[in-house]
Amino acid sequence: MQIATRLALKLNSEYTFGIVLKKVFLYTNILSFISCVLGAHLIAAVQNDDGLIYFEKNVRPLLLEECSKCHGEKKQKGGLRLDLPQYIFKGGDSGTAFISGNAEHSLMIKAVKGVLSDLRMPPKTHLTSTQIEHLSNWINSGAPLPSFDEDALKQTKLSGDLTQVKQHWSFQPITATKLPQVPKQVVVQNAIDTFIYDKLQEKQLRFSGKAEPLILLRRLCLDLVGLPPTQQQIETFLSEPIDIAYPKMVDALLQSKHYGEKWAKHWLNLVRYAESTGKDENHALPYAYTYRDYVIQAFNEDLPYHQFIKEQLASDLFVNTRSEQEQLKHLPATAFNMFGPKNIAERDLNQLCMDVIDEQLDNISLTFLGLTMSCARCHDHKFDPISTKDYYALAGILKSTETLEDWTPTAIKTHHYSSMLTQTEQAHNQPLIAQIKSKLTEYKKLEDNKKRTPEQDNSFKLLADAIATLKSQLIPEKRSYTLTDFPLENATHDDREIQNCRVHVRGSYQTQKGEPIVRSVPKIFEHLYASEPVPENQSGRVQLANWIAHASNPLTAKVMVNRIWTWHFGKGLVSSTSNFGTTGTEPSHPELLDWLTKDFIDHNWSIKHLQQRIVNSATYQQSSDHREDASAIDPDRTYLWSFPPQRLDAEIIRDRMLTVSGEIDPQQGKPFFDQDPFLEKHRANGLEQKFEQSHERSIYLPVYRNKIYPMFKVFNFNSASMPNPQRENTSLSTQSLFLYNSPYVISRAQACAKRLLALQSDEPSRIKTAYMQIYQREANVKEIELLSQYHQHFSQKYPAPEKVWTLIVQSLFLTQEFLSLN
Amino acid sequence: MNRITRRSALELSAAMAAFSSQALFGQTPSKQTTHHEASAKRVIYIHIHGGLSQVESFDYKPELYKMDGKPFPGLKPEVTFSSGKLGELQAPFVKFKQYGESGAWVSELFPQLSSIVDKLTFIKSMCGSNVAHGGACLKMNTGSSTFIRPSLGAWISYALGTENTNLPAFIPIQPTMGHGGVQNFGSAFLPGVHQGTYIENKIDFIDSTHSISDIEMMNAFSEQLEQVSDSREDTTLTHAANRSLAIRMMKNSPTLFDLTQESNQTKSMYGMDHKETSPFGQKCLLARRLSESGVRFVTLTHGYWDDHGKIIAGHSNKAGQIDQPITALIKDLDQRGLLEETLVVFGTEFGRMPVAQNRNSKDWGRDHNPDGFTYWIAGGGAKAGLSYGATDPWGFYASENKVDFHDFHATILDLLGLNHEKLTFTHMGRAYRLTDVHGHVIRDLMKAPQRSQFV
Repeated sequence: MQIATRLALKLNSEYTFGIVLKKVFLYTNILSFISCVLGAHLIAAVQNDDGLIYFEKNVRPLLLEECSKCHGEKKQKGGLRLDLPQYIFKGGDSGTAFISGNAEHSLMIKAVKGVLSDLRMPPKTHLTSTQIEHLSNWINSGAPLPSFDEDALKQTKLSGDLTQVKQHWSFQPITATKLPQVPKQVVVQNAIDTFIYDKLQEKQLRFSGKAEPLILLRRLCLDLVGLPPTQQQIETFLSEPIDIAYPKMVDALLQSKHYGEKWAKHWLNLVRYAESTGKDENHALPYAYTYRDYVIQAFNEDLPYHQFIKEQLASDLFVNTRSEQEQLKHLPATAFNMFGPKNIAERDLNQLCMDVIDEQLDNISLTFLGLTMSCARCHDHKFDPISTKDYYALAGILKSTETLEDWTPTAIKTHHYSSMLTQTEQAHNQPLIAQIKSKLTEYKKLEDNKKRTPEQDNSFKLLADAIATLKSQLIPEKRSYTLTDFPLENATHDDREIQNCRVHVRGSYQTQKGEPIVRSVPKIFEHLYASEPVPENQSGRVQLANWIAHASNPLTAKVMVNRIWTWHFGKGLVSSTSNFGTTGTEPSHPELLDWLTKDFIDHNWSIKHLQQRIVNSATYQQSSDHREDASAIDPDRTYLWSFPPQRLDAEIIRDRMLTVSGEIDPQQGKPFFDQDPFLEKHRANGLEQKFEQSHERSIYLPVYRNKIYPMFKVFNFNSASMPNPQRENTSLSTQSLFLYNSPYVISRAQACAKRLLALQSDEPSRIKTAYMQIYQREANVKEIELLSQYHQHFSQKYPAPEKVWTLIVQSLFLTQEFLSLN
Repeated sequence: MNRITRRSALELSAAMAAFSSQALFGQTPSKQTTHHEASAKRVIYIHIHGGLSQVESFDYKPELYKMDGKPFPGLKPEVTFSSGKLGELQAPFVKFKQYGESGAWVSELFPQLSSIVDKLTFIKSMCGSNVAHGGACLKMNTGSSTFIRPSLGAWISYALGTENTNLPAFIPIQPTMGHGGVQNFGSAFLPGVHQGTYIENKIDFIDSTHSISDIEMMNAFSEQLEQVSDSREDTTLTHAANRSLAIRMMKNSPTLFDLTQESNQTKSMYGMDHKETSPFGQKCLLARRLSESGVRFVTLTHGYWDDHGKIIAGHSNKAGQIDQPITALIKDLDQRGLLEETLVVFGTEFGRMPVAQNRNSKDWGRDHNPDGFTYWIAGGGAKAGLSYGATDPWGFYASENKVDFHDFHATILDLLGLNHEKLTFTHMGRAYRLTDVHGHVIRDLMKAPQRSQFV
């Protein structure tokens, strides 16, 4: 290479500019042939790490972005390819593109600077001066290129040593751990406590005492079913000694239908469940609720977690062994793959397709494995053993899976309607739809016209009537399905075309490279257990599901056990709940996590079993009170010297308010989205009314991206666009504004006040009842005293008892006690 | 059991109130937190939603008038919004003139703005990457049309915190709820406090049917209840501080959001006495008031400029609605000595094509064009009177000194004293940047390209 440069320079000085070009290229072509023969030695000589980084950072993206359309895989104008190192080096019909170490005389630089009359690149644009500078700097530094061995692309490359990465704690097989010894005088309920005690000892900490019975009951109810205890539950609980009453109550709550409503919420949040596509067009997904209901049912029925995973990845492919009714129940599960936000208006469909796949892959690996995957779209994962090859092997599985019928918005809109009807029914509707549509156009024109003449006004009314009549003749949407007309939107199926993906260099579909990568599961756990090969005529979702839900997969069960733990205690044994990779945090109690995971798998992946263990532990039943001594050592309560208090989730706060005001409707309401295909595409009108007027549990409120309810927004509900393993429940002043001023809160306080005033009793006993009703515990003497004082104060100002009690109730809503789990 | 005594609790809450910031929006007030000397403290970002035609506003292309009706000689973009083949070149329906000492070209759509061109810095070579509104808006606001990423305002809030502890650091005024919606001002993986607190006319739930004295009484009541309760938690104090701060906000806010406090002269300067200009005039005036009160990042949206058809009426009417208010905003900031430290950005998610849609009809329009369009910035250390970059002779593709959104974001951060390569947030094990792995600071746009480094 250096010889080539010198020669080129020499030639250049001897000849005049115009003549020299061709000759230089002739020579350099010969020379590049020589350098090819000499092999990699010459090239290696000019390689240096900084230069390579510079190339990757500044030059390669530039070449891909600015040049590869004409000088890429598809087109090689002038015989030149600039998308991969070996071609960049090779040059084109006019010779080598650059002279190493001499930017000024490199053809590439001349072309982009526009100094040649017949060769200006890029033809229709210009590179910025910075871009040109990058190219020049790179060439002047010797134009280092990464190794361009074809095979290198296909090989798993890791920045670290693979064996070292494999020693990472989370990738170890789950082994049985021995219980630590605990002195007799320490009260332990089960294995959990022995591990926690052991660590507390080590950190010179001790357990807190047991929480008061009613506090404990309230914690248990809010935690397991998301509702405060009822009067009856309180009475039952207090009627027996706590050691008997407590485990009984645990069992009863786990059997309650409200249990699934609470625990599905955590899962839905994790898998970015929403009822609209979000991003640009934000179309409604009217059948999304079938997935929500499926998850509620799965929790209520304690569907084994490995089964839960398989159904979400491939329930459509496991169907044959079940009755039609059974199949239907489980079909919505695969909607798991579809909730990612989508740029429906993206005109570049290849881009859209790969973006959707990327989102799906990341969701699968974050949710089940606690690993990030999307880094590998563009390069081998820097920290975890996921190679680009693994990524595209998986991408092929999803590329062969149809998740939306078509990518166009029109298809989404009409498809909801028509796919639910038989062909005859559709044939009946079609002419009606056409008529309605044409009338609607006129109707909308008139509607916009604010200065209608009386005649126009009349025809406006007539049109409205005509549309209504036509609509009434339509065969309406169905709400019950058979297997054949199940809404596609809620179920994946294998694509007609099963295909493998090729590696997309730097993640761009425009620069696909090499042989297609055969669909398969990642290779990381090859040494632990065998995976099934993907049959040629199937997408591979079954094999992927079986691989993830395998008892020997060291991550799957561990990740879920840690999630359940997190959703009880507000913090995980591993605090980075969706990152078990090498950049995640280490577990605070590794042996406990292993023990629980093994126990979980041994009990057929039963989530309820795991939760029974957790809530029956002495650790869970501790008081949540602040302790100065312990706080000084462990302010975050990582070692669980008490039950860690947590701000309740937005939905629970709403449900709690509705319960204490006596307004809650325990039944599930009707699906929100009207099936009228003529509504605007943003079919979210009436969401706020739904929130305010319907008193069903919050889980049944539609989650519409970009229209998150104001209350949920201030109480840290996320945007439902990204996987959210754990709410970030911070205290904000906007929450206080909401609690002071929102008509919604004031209405709940009013309803609660009315309910209290309806009781035939004197003020002192009403005060006690109020406390019991709102906080589900007895008031202490000081609290009663305070309540009486403020009652008196407000009564002096306002004669109406309802107003007085509304202010009192609202003050109780404002406290930490009402807003948290303690 | 050793609980926090009531006295220590009160002491603590007094202490918290003293440096109240943490509690209110979870942010710290700004100290020395920049990487280098900042020339701007705040940003007002005017988003012209729908796509402003560059060739009918600031990018004068004489060639386009000459070649009216001829086919576009360059290449058709690979991906276009409306399918089908490109229409013919279409001469702009407006005339251009040069103004000011800088000789900046402005079309007759913006007669008032033309009087202050010497205060503006034009960027004629903006380019985006997405042909649809949603993707383009997300790109403009978050740097990515593909992934869910924090918005520019959220990054700035994260980096600089709030200047006024009674207000959020990032307030979008009536943003669009379509085309990316809340993600356009979202915080993605950054802490939730940094997402934009969007307002219609004022902060949500700041008005009450209760009297302030009743609210103060409720607050006192709940605070005392927390103190006599048997259980006490370490987060109670933050919670109590937030309740008090919410009351302070309520007391301050009527003045802040009440535009009637402004003089008639100011109101009429913003066009609030005319039906056409009043709605956007009010937004601009509110933006100035918020910015003046220390809100770091205010966005204003005007829509909807998506004139695929009837562009003559469409663009003329809409320009008429904003010309006076935006001019007033710049002048007003200038008069108050605020323009020096406030960066005003005027931009759109993409421009429009120099070729026509439906050319033979009087209702002709123009399609989306992310390949070359115009922005202007003012104040905050921008080099006034400059025109930077250029498009090809027809105004289709940016051809000279191209500026993409990463470059633009890097430049805004730089003016605010932030190094876009150093402003990172670690999420799922990776350090993320607003500009991902891209972005070049365009120093040519700055009055003082080199400023002293702190870190």
